[in-house]
Amino acid sequence: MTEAEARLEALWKDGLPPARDAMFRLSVLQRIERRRMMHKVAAVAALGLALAVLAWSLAPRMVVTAQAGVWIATLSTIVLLGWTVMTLRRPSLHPN
Amino acid sequence: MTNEADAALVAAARAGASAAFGALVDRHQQAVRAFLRRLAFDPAEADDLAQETFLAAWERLSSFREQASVRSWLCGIAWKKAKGARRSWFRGAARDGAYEAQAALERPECGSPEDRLALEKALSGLPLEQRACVALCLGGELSHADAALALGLPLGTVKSHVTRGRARLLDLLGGRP
Repeated sequence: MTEAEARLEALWKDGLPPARDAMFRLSVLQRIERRRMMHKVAAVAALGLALAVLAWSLAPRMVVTAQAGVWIATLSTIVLLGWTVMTLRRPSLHPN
Repeated sequence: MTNEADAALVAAARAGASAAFGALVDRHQQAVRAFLRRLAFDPAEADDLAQETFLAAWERLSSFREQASVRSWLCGIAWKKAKGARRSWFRGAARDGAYEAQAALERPECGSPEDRLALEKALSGLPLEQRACVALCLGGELSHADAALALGLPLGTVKSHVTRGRARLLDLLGGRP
């Protein structure tokens, strides 16, 4: 091996990141968790929008008193919020 | 071909096991980060892109085919990320070249600062594809065949790039006293 080849080999190894880097791994897993959270929020928002569109499209066919309408809206909101909380609280990654 | 340990980790990660994906990160982060650093010169930006690479790999686990090695698949994702970030990235790398030159002088690793600067300057003088081939193959991180898969280049092109790039680097380093 020539001197230049030895020098190149030494310099090439010199620039390597550490073989084990717990902080890097943690950062990657944190990004994954944030992405999972965004997916869930997007799914909930999409479901809410779909329900709103459905309700709006059915509205002309329904004869609903104002009071019943308020109850329906309130119950729908509670159900949707409850489902949102249960979905977001569910463990996203298996422990193993 | 992917080895058995990687195949088992990929299968477990597909099932949602975070520890398995973390183990994949541990096994391959050094190679991916080194590849991106040799392309981009700025360790912080390269590491950020490396994290994005693993995030993309997690999202695409279902599309991984066992005909390729996990490392070449990851480097392929990293290569696409690097090309996508190229415009602002390499413009920034040129601007920050002076900073990197000073940082190389101050880094307390083996090898003289002048040699490290010479290596970085030599790498920056290589065409992008040639630099990528050298970055992947020179230290033996990937075989020529795996590098060809990762970069989407013909095998002969990769071999040629590595040979010429290595000769260029040796020429620049060998010319120094």
